Amino acid sequence: MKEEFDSAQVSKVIDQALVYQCACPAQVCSTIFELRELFDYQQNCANDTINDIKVHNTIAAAAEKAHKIMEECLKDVLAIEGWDMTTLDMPETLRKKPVKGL
Amino acid sequence: MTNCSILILDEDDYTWSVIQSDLEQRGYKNLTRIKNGMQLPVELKHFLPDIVIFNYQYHQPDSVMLCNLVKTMAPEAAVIAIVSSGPASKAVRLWASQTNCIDVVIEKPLSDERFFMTLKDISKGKQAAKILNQRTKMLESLIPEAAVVAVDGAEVNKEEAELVEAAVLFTDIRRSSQAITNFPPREFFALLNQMLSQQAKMIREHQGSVIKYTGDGVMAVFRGVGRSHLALRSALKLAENSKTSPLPFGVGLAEGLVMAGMVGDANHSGQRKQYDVIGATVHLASRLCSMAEVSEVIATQQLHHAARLYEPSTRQIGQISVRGFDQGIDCVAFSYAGIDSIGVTK
Repeated sequence: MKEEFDSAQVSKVIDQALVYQCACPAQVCSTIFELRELFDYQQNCANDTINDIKVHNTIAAAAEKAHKIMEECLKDVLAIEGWDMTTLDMPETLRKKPVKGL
Repeated sequence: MTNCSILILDEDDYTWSVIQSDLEQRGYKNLTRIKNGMQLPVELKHFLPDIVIFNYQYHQPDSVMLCNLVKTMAPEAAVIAIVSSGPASKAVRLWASQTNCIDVVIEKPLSDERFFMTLKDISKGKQAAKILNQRTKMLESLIPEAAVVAVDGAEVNKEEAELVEAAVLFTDIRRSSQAITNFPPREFFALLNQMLSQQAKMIREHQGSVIKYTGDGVMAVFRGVGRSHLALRSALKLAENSKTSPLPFGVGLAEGLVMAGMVGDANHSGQRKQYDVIGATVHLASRLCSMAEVSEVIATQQLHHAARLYEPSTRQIGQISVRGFDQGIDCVAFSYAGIDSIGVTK
Protein backbone atom coordinates (compact mmCIF):
# COMPACT_ATOMS: atom_id res chain seq x y z
CA MET A 1 0.00 0.00 0.00
CA LYS A 2 1.41 3.35 -0.97
CA GLU A 3 1.99 5.63 2.00
CA GLU A 4 2.30 9.38 1.59
CA PHE A 5 2.88 9.90 5.33
CA ASP A 6 5.13 7.45 7.13
CA SER A 7 4.43 6.17 10.66
CA ALA A 8 6.68 8.75 12.29
CA GLN A 9 4.88 11.60 10.57
CA VAL A 10 1.41 10.37 11.42
CA SER A 11 2.48 9.71 15.04
CA LYS A 12 3.94 13.19 15.29
CA VAL A 13 0.61 14.73 14.39
CA ILE A 14 -1.14 12.61 17.02
CA ASP A 15 1.48 13.37 19.67
CA GLN A 16 1.05 17.09 19.19
CA ALA A 17 -2.69 16.94 19.00
CA LEU A 18 -3.08 15.28 22.38
CA VAL A 19 -6.05 17.52 22.58
CA TYR A 20 -6.81 21.03 21.57
CA GLN A 21 -9.94 22.77 20.56
CA CYS A 22 -10.32 20.19 17.82
CA ALA A 23 -8.42 16.89 17.88
CA CYS A 24 -9.83 15.84 14.51
CA PRO A 25 -6.50 15.66 12.63
CA ALA A 26 -5.34 13.16 15.22
CA GLN A 27 -8.52 11.14 14.70
CA VAL A 28 -7.82 11.11 10.97
CA CYS A 29 -4.32 9.85 11.78
CA SER A 30 -5.74 7.08 13.96
CA THR A 31 -8.00 6.03 11.11
CA ILE A 32 -5.01 5.94 8.75
CA PHE A 33 -3.21 3.62 11.18
CA GLU A 34 -6.28 1.42 11.50
CA LEU A 35 -6.55 1.13 7.71
CA ARG A 36 -2.88 0.18 7.51
CA GLU A 37 -3.44 -2.46 10.15
CA LEU A 38 -6.46 -3.78 8.29
CA PHE A 39 -4.45 -3.97 5.08
CA ASP A 40 -1.56 -5.76 6.82
CA TYR A 41 -3.94 -8.13 8.57
CA GLN A 42 -5.68 -9.36 5.41
CA GLN A 43 -2.30 -9.81 3.75
CA ASN A 44 -1.31 -12.33 6.40
CA CYS A 45 -4.55 -14.27 6.17
CA ALA A 46 -4.63 -17.75 4.67
CA ASN A 47 -5.92 -17.96 1.10
CA ASP A 48 -7.13 -21.55 1.04
CA THR A 49 -9.99 -21.11 -1.36
CA ILE A 50 -10.82 -18.90 -4.30
CA ASN A 51 -13.38 -17.20 -2.15
CA ASP A 52 -10.70 -16.40 0.45
CA ILE A 53 -8.64 -14.69 -2.23
CA LYS A 54 -11.67 -12.73 -3.41
CA VAL A 55 -12.50 -11.62 0.14
CA HIS A 56 -8.95 -10.47 0.86
CA ASN A 57 -8.53 -8.71 -2.48
CA THR A 58 -11.78 -6.85 -1.90
CA ILE A 59 -10.66 -5.76 1.56
CA ALA A 60 -7.21 -4.77 0.29
CA ALA A 61 -8.68 -2.66 -2.49
CA ALA A 62 -11.14 -0.97 -0.15
CA ALA A 63 -8.48 -0.36 2.51
CA GLU A 64 -6.14 1.14 -0.09
CA LYS A 65 -8.85 3.34 -1.46
CA ALA A 66 -9.95 4.48 1.99
CA HIS A 67 -6.35 4.98 3.05
CA LYS A 68 -5.64 7.17 0.07
CA ILE A 69 -8.75 9.21 0.78
CA MET A 70 -7.81 9.64 4.45
CA GLU A 71 -4.24 10.60 3.64
CA GLU A 72 -5.55 13.21 1.22
CA CYS A 73 -7.94 14.33 3.93
CA LEU A 74 -5.09 14.65 6.42
CA LYS A 75 -3.01 16.64 3.95
CA ASP A 76 -5.90 18.99 3.30
CA VAL A 77 -6.76 19.38 6.99
CA LEU A 78 -3.16 20.13 7.93
CA ALA A 79 -2.95 22.67 5.14
CA ILE A 80 -6.19 24.33 6.19
CA GLU A 81 -5.01 24.52 9.80
CA GLY A 82 -1.63 25.89 8.76
CA TRP A 83 0.63 23.08 9.92
CA ASP A 84 4.21 23.17 8.68
CA MET A 85 4.05 20.52 5.97
CA THR A 86 7.80 19.85 6.09
CA THR A 87 8.29 19.41 9.83
CA LEU A 88 4.64 18.65 10.63
CA ASP A 89 4.75 21.01 13.58
CA MET A 90 1.45 22.23 14.91
CA PRO A 91 0.94 25.96 14.33
CA GLU A 92 1.29 28.14 17.44
CA THR A 93 -2.12 29.62 16.80
CA LEU A 94 -3.71 26.24 17.42
CA ARG A 95 -1.74 25.71 20.61
CA LYS A 96 -2.90 29.04 21.94
CA LYS A 97 -6.54 28.27 21.38
CA PRO A 98 -8.53 27.65 24.54
CA VAL A 99 -8.23 24.02 25.41
CA LYS A 100 -11.32 21.89 25.26
CA GLY A 101 -11.64 19.36 28.05
CA LEU A 102 -10.14 15.98 27.28
CA MET B 1 -11.11 16.05 45.23
CA THR B 2 -8.40 13.45 45.63
CA ASN B 3 -5.20 13.50 47.63
CA CYS B 4 -3.44 11.18 45.19
CA SER B 5 -0.01 12.43 44.23
CA ILE B 6 0.54 12.40 40.48
CA LEU B 7 3.81 12.71 38.62
CA ILE B 8 3.54 13.69 34.97
CA LEU B 9 6.39 12.86 32.63
CA ASP B 10 5.93 15.14 29.65
CA GLU B 11 8.53 17.02 27.70
CA ASP B 12 5.98 19.10 25.84
CA ASP B 13 4.88 22.28 27.61
CA TYR B 14 1.63 22.45 25.72
CA THR B 15 0.39 18.92 26.37
CA TRP B 16 1.54 19.23 30.00
CA SER B 17 -0.54 22.39 30.40
CA VAL B 18 -3.55 20.61 28.89
CA ILE B 19 -3.23 17.62 31.20
CA GLN B 20 -2.54 19.80 34.24
CA SER B 21 -5.52 22.01 33.57
CA ASP B 22 -7.91 19.10 33.12
CA LEU B 23 -6.60 17.23 36.15
CA GLU B 24 -6.96 20.30 38.33
CA GLN B 25 -10.50 20.82 37.10
CA ARG B 26 -11.28 17.30 38.25
CA GLY B 27 -9.88 17.86 41.72
CA TYR B 28 -6.37 16.45 41.32
CA LYS B 29 -4.25 19.09 43.02
CA ASN B 30 -1.10 17.22 43.99
CA LEU B 31 0.65 17.36 40.61
CA THR B 32 4.33 17.35 39.81
CA ARG B 33 5.80 17.59 36.36
CA ILE B 34 9.09 16.32 35.03
CA LYS B 35 10.08 17.72 31.68
CA ASN B 36 13.45 16.11 31.36
CA GLY B 37 13.88 12.40 32.12
CA MET B 38 17.29 13.13 33.61
CA GLN B 39 15.51 14.79 36.55
CA LEU B 40 13.49 11.68 37.31
CA PRO B 41 15.94 9.83 39.62
CA VAL B 42 16.52 13.01 41.65
CA GLU B 43 12.80 13.68 41.93
CA LEU B 44 11.95 10.10 42.95
CA LYS B 45 14.54 10.20 45.72
CA HIS B 46 12.37 12.53 47.76
CA PHE B 47 8.94 12.12 46.20
CA LEU B 48 7.11 8.82 45.72
CA PRO B 49 4.00 9.41 43.61
CA ASP B 50 0.86 7.29 43.70
CA ILE B 51 0.35 7.60 39.96
CA VAL B 52 2.71 8.41 37.10
CA ILE B 53 1.32 9.69 33.81
CA PHE B 54 3.80 9.19 31.01
CA ASN B 55 3.17 11.04 27.75
CA TYR B 56 5.06 8.94 25.23
CA GLN B 57 6.34 10.66 22.10
CA TYR B 58 6.91 8.55 19.00
CA HIS B 59 10.16 10.30 18.14
CA GLN B 60 11.66 9.38 21.53
CA PRO B 61 11.23 5.60 21.76
CA ASP B 62 13.91 5.22 24.45
CA SER B 63 11.94 7.39 26.84
CA VAL B 64 9.79 4.34 27.64
CA MET B 65 12.67 3.18 29.82
CA LEU B 66 11.76 5.95 32.26
CA CYS B 67 8.84 3.73 33.25
CA ASN B 68 11.28 1.01 34.32
CA LEU B 69 13.06 3.56 36.47
CA VAL B 70 9.75 4.55 38.04
CA LYS B 71 8.91 0.93 38.86
CA THR B 72 12.36 0.43 40.36
CA MET B 73 12.37 3.54 42.53
CA ALA B 74 8.64 3.80 43.24
CA PRO B 75 7.29 0.27 42.84
CA GLU B 76 3.95 1.18 44.43
CA ALA B 77 3.20 3.80 41.78
CA ALA B 78 0.75 2.97 39.01
CA VAL B 79 2.09 3.96 35.59
CA ILE B 80 -0.31 5.17 32.90
CA ALA B 81 1.22 5.63 29.45
CA ILE B 82 -0.49 7.90 26.94
CA VAL B 83 0.55 6.77 23.50
CA SER B 84 -0.40 7.64 19.94
CA SER B 85 -2.35 4.89 18.19
CA GLY B 86 -0.69 2.69 15.58
CA PRO B 87 2.94 1.56 15.76
CA ALA B 88 3.72 3.55 18.94
CA SER B 89 0.86 1.90 20.78
CA LYS B 90 1.95 -1.53 19.60
CA ALA B 91 5.56 -0.94 20.67
CA VAL B 92 4.64 0.39 24.10
CA ARG B 93 2.13 -2.40 24.75
CA LEU B 94 4.79 -4.95 23.86
CA TRP B 95 7.25 -3.22 26.17
CA ALA B 96 4.65 -3.15 28.92
CA SER B 97 3.94 -6.86 28.62
CA GLN B 98 7.64 -7.72 28.60
CA THR B 99 8.69 -5.54 31.52
CA ASN B 100 5.52 -5.03 33.59
CA CYS B 101 6.62 -1.45 34.06
CA ILE B 102 3.43 0.08 32.62
CA ASP B 103 0.06 -0.66 34.18
CA VAL B 104 -2.27 0.98 31.67
CA VAL B 105 -1.80 2.12 28.07
CA ILE B 106 -4.25 4.70 26.75
CA GLU B 107 -4.22 5.80 23.15
CA LYS B 108 -4.11 9.37 21.93
CA PRO B 109 -5.92 11.47 20.99
CA LEU B 110 -7.58 11.67 24.39
CA SER B 111 -10.92 12.64 23.05
CA ASP B 112 -13.19 10.83 25.46
CA GLU B 113 -13.53 10.16 29.19
CA ARG B 114 -11.57 6.91 29.03
CA PHE B 115 -8.42 8.51 30.42
CA PHE B 116 -10.14 10.14 33.37
CA MET B 117 -12.25 7.10 34.18
CA THR B 118 -9.08 5.00 34.31
CA LEU B 119 -7.34 7.63 36.42
CA LYS B 120 -10.30 7.80 38.77
CA ASP B 121 -10.35 4.01 39.19
CA ILE B 122 -6.63 3.84 39.88
CA SER B 123 -6.82 6.82 42.19
CA LYS B 124 -9.64 5.16 44.16
CA GLY B 125 -7.66 1.94 44.36
CA LYS B 126 -4.57 3.79 45.56
CA GLN B 127 -6.50 5.64 48.24
CA ALA B 128 -8.12 2.42 49.42
CA ALA B 129 -4.69 0.76 49.54
CA LYS B 130 -3.32 3.69 51.54
CA ILE B 131 -6.09 3.40 54.11
CA LEU B 132 -5.61 -0.36 54.25
CA ASN B 133 -1.86 0.04 54.76
CA GLN B 134 -2.38 2.54 57.57
CA ARG B 135 -4.87 0.20 59.19
CA THR B 136 -2.54 -2.77 58.79
CA LYS B 137 0.31 -0.81 60.37
CA MET B 138 -1.92 0.14 63.28
CA LEU B 139 -3.08 -3.45 63.73
CA GLU B 140 0.50 -4.70 63.48
CA SER B 141 1.38 -2.51 66.44
CA LEU B 142 -1.41 -4.16 68.42
CA ILE B 143 -0.43 -7.75 67.85
CA PRO B 144 2.80 -9.58 68.66
CA GLU B 145 5.40 -10.03 65.93
CA ALA B 146 5.23 -13.79 66.34
CA ALA B 147 1.51 -13.69 65.58
CA VAL B 148 2.18 -11.79 62.35
CA VAL B 149 4.77 -14.40 61.39
CA ALA B 150 2.35 -17.21 62.26
CA VAL B 151 -0.43 -15.70 60.17
CA ASP B 152 1.83 -14.75 57.26
CA GLY B 153 3.74 -18.03 57.16
CA ALA B 154 2.21 -20.26 54.53
CA GLU B 155 3.75 -23.34 56.09
CA VAL B 156 2.07 -22.72 59.43
CA ASN B 157 -1.30 -24.25 60.07
CA LYS B 158 -3.10 -21.31 61.63
CA GLU B 159 -5.45 -23.55 63.59
CA GLU B 160 -2.74 -25.64 65.21
CA ALA B 161 -0.60 -24.71 68.19
CA GLU B 162 3.10 -25.49 68.01
CA LEU B 163 5.24 -26.88 70.77
CA VAL B 164 8.56 -25.06 70.82
CA GLU B 165 11.60 -24.53 73.00
CA ALA B 166 11.65 -20.92 74.11
CA ALA B 167 12.96 -18.60 76.79
CA VAL B 168 10.09 -16.69 78.37
CA LEU B 169 10.57 -13.27 79.93
CA PHE B 170 8.22 -11.33 82.15
CA THR B 171 8.57 -7.83 83.55
CA ASP B 172 6.33 -6.29 86.16
CA ILE B 173 6.33 -2.93 87.96
CA ARG B 174 7.00 -3.27 91.65
CA ARG B 175 4.41 -1.76 93.93
CA SER B 176 2.42 -0.50 90.97
CA SER B 177 -0.68 0.23 93.08
CA GLN B 178 1.36 2.70 95.07
CA ALA B 179 2.95 4.13 91.92
CA ILE B 180 -0.47 4.85 90.47
CA THR B 181 -1.31 7.02 93.47
CA ASN B 182 2.04 8.84 93.20
CA PHE B 183 1.31 10.23 89.74
CA PRO B 184 -1.65 11.95 88.12
CA PRO B 185 -3.46 9.25 86.05
CA ARG B 186 -2.51 10.72 82.64
CA GLU B 187 1.11 11.13 83.67
CA PHE B 188 1.19 7.57 85.00
CA PHE B 189 -0.26 6.30 81.74
CA ALA B 190 2.29 8.23 79.69
CA LEU B 191 5.16 6.97 81.87
CA LEU B 192 3.86 3.42 81.65
CA ASN B 193 3.66 3.58 77.85
CA GLN B 194 7.12 5.08 77.64
CA MET B 195 8.55 2.37 79.88
CA LEU B 196 6.80 -0.45 78.02
CA SER B 197 7.98 0.95 74.68
CA GLN B 198 11.57 1.00 75.95
CA GLN B 199 11.24 -2.54 77.22
CA ALA B 200 9.80 -3.76 73.92
CA LYS B 201 12.60 -2.03 72.03
CA MET B 202 15.28 -3.68 74.18
CA ILE B 203 13.62 -7.06 73.78
CA ARG B 204 13.49 -6.67 70.01
CA GLU B 205 17.12 -5.57 69.96
CA HIS B 206 17.92 -8.95 71.50
CA GLN B 207 15.79 -10.77 68.92
CA GLY B 208 12.94 -11.38 71.33
CA SER B 209 9.28 -11.04 70.48
CA VAL B 210 6.76 -9.27 72.71
CA ILE B 211 3.73 -11.53 73.01
CA LYS B 212 1.60 -9.21 75.07
CA TYR B 213 1.49 -6.35 77.53
CA THR B 214 0.27 -7.55 80.88
CA GLY B 215 -0.98 -4.22 82.21
CA ASP B 216 2.16 -3.03 83.92
CA GLY B 217 4.69 -5.29 82.28
CA VAL B 218 5.44 -7.36 79.21
CA MET B 219 5.61 -10.99 78.30
CA ALA B 220 8.13 -11.89 75.64
CA VAL B 221 9.67 -15.00 74.13
CA PHE B 222 13.04 -15.73 72.62
CA ARG B 223 13.26 -18.59 70.17
CA GLY B 224 15.93 -20.29 68.14
CA VAL B 225 19.63 -20.77 68.67
CA GLY B 226 21.12 -18.65 71.46
CA ARG B 227 17.71 -17.88 72.96
CA SER B 228 18.88 -18.28 76.58
CA HIS B 229 21.88 -16.04 76.01
CA LEU B 230 19.84 -13.37 74.27
CA ALA B 231 17.04 -13.59 76.83
CA LEU B 232 19.39 -13.19 79.78
CA ARG B 233 21.28 -10.32 78.15
CA SER B 234 18.00 -8.64 77.43
CA ALA B 235 16.80 -9.23 81.01
CA LEU B 236 20.02 -7.81 82.47
CA LYS B 237 19.77 -4.77 80.28
CA LEU B 238 16.15 -4.28 81.30
CA ALA B 239 17.04 -4.61 84.97
CA GLU B 240 19.81 -2.06 84.57
CA ASN B 241 17.38 0.28 82.86
CA SER B 242 14.92 -0.20 85.70
CA LYS B 243 17.35 1.56 88.05
CA THR B 244 16.64 4.92 86.43
CA SER B 245 13.00 4.29 85.61
CA PRO B 246 10.34 6.24 87.52
CA LEU B 247 8.42 2.95 87.52
CA PRO B 248 11.01 0.37 88.60
CA PHE B 249 10.28 -3.24 87.82
CA GLY B 250 11.51 -6.80 88.23
CA VAL B 251 12.23 -9.44 85.60
CA GLY B 252 11.54 -13.19 85.53
CA LEU B 253 13.12 -15.60 83.10
CA ALA B 254 12.68 -19.32 82.37
CA GLU B 255 13.43 -21.63 79.50
CA GLY B 256 11.65 -24.76 78.30
CA LEU B 257 8.84 -26.09 76.14
CA VAL B 258 5.94 -23.78 75.48
CA MET B 259 2.80 -24.08 73.42
CA ALA B 260 2.41 -21.20 70.95
CA GLY B 261 -0.59 -20.46 68.79
CA MET B 262 -3.92 -18.76 68.42
CA VAL B 263 -6.22 -19.00 71.40
CA GLY B 264 -9.79 -17.84 71.72
CA ASP B 265 -12.97 -18.35 69.80
CA ALA B 266 -13.30 -16.81 66.36
CA ASN B 267 -16.57 -18.54 65.57
CA HIS B 268 -18.84 -16.01 67.22
CA SER B 269 -19.20 -12.39 66.29
CA GLY B 270 -17.61 -10.00 68.72
CA GLN B 271 -15.05 -12.57 69.82
CA ARG B 272 -11.58 -12.87 68.47
CA LYS B 273 -8.53 -15.02 68.66
CA GLN B 274 -5.21 -13.85 69.96
CA TYR B 275 -1.73 -15.21 69.67
CA ASP B 276 -0.41 -16.47 72.97
CA VAL B 277 2.20 -18.68 74.55
CA ILE B 278 1.18 -21.03 77.33
CA GLY B 279 2.63 -23.81 79.45
CA ALA B 280 4.50 -24.56 82.64
CA THR B 281 7.55 -22.56 81.52
CA VAL B 282 5.33 -19.49 81.18
CA HIS B 283 3.95 -20.02 84.70
CA LEU B 284 7.46 -20.40 86.00
CA ALA B 285 8.75 -17.21 84.36
CA SER B 286 5.73 -15.31 85.65
CA ARG B 287 6.27 -16.69 89.15
CA LEU B 288 9.96 -15.72 89.08
CA CYS B 289 9.02 -12.24 87.94
CA SER B 290 6.65 -11.83 90.87
CA MET B 291 9.48 -12.84 93.20
CA ALA B 292 12.01 -10.43 91.73
CA GLU B 293 12.82 -7.24 93.60
CA VAL B 294 13.20 -3.86 91.97
CA SER B 295 15.82 -3.99 89.17
CA GLU B 296 16.38 -7.67 89.78
CA VAL B 297 16.35 -10.58 87.36
CA ILE B 298 15.39 -14.00 88.64
CA ALA B 299 16.14 -16.78 86.21
CA THR B 300 16.28 -20.54 86.33
CA GLN B 301 19.72 -22.03 86.93
CA GLN B 302 19.20 -24.05 83.78
CA LEU B 303 18.74 -20.91 81.68
CA HIS B 304 21.68 -19.19 83.34
CA HIS B 305 23.85 -22.19 82.53
CA ALA B 306 22.68 -22.40 78.93
CA ALA B 307 23.16 -18.67 78.46
CA ARG B 308 26.90 -18.93 79.21
CA LEU B 309 26.89 -15.47 80.68
CA TYR B 310 29.07 -15.61 83.75
CA GLU B 311 27.24 -13.00 85.68
CA PRO B 312 27.53 -13.74 89.41
CA SER B 313 24.30 -14.36 91.25
CA THR B 314 23.60 -11.59 93.77
CA ARG B 315 21.01 -13.35 95.90
CA GLN B 316 20.45 -16.93 96.95
CA ILE B 317 17.05 -18.09 95.79
CA GLY B 318 17.52 -21.84 96.03
CA GLN B 319 14.80 -24.13 94.84
CA ILE B 320 11.27 -22.96 94.30
CA SER B 321 8.29 -25.17 93.66
CA VAL B 322 5.99 -24.37 90.80
CA ARG B 323 2.79 -26.08 89.76
CA GLY B 324 3.47 -28.32 86.77
CA PHE B 325 6.98 -29.22 87.88
CA ASP B 326 7.58 -32.36 89.91
CA GLN B 327 10.64 -31.05 91.66
CA GLY B 328 11.79 -27.68 92.92
CA ILE B 329 13.51 -25.43 90.38
CA ASP B 330 16.99 -24.05 91.05
CA CYS B 331 17.02 -20.32 90.49
CA VAL B 332 19.49 -17.46 90.49
CA ALA B 333 19.10 -13.73 90.96
CA PHE B 334 20.94 -10.75 89.52
CA SER B 335 20.27 -7.43 91.12
CA TYR B 336 21.34 -4.04 89.85
CA ALA B 337 19.50 -1.93 92.39
CA GLY B 338 22.66 -0.62 93.99
CA ILE B 339 25.19 -1.08 91.20
CA ASP B 340 26.26 1.78 88.97
CA SER B 341 26.88 -0.24 85.84
CA ILE B 342 26.80 -3.84 84.79
CA GLY B 343 29.21 -5.88 82.79
CA VAL B 344 27.07 -8.28 80.87
CA THR B 345 29.84 -10.59 79.86
CA LYS B 346 32.94 -11.34 81.78
